[in-house]
Amino acid sequence: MLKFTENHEWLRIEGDVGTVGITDHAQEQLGDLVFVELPAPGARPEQGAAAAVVESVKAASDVYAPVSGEVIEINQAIVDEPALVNRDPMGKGWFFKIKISDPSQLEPLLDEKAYQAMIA
Amino acid sequence: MNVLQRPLISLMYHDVVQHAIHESSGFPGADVILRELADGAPRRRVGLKVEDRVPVRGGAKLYADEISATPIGSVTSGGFGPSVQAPIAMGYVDSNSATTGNRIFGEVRGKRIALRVCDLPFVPHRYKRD
Repeated sequence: MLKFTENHEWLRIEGDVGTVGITDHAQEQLGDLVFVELPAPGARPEQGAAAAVVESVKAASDVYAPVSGEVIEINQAIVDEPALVNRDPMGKGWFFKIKISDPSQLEPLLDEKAYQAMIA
Repeated sequence: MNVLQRPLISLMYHDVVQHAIHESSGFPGADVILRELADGAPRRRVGLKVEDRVPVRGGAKLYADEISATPIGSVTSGGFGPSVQAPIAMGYVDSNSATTGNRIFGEVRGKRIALRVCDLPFVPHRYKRD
């Protein structure tokens, strides 16, 4: 199941684990990324709290946790090469995996159609 | 003129020096500028290269080390430099911290990031003037 936030994060849910990244629209708006800061594994961001930072040539911006939970894995590849997020935002450019603590928080998230309609 | 951006501090003093030599006074700010010409300016404009990959942007405070609470200056402008493929910045620091090669720290989101004072311009002029 794939969900989106109004802040342009995506969340791919498999069982009780969600993989988080930023959307193609987000990477396009940011422009060339030059720096990514990820949460430490074990961190427990609340839904909507800043969990990661991306910096493009133009500006810095926060990436928010789409749901509350525990960060169980991070994608070191995008720290080493931030441009990976621009090239493959929904694939190799994922940010972190989070163990979802409260499945009811998925309710207000957007499905792909609603997200596409929002950015259209 | 901002007190931190007097011409001597910025090392943009060519015209002022010319003027001072010719008139030795009698222009706005002459007393301060001539004194700084003789004794040195309290702060200097410097180039900064970031040792990490974090862009250190305008407004970031600069410190002499990782723990001190008193800033020695601040970044006026900074971002990612495509020519050097690294973050660069420019700012004002106390003159005694302005030596080329000196290691100082900039604060970004509560963390101290190591910076190296470097000569300006970052990229030497390569064009020819006719």
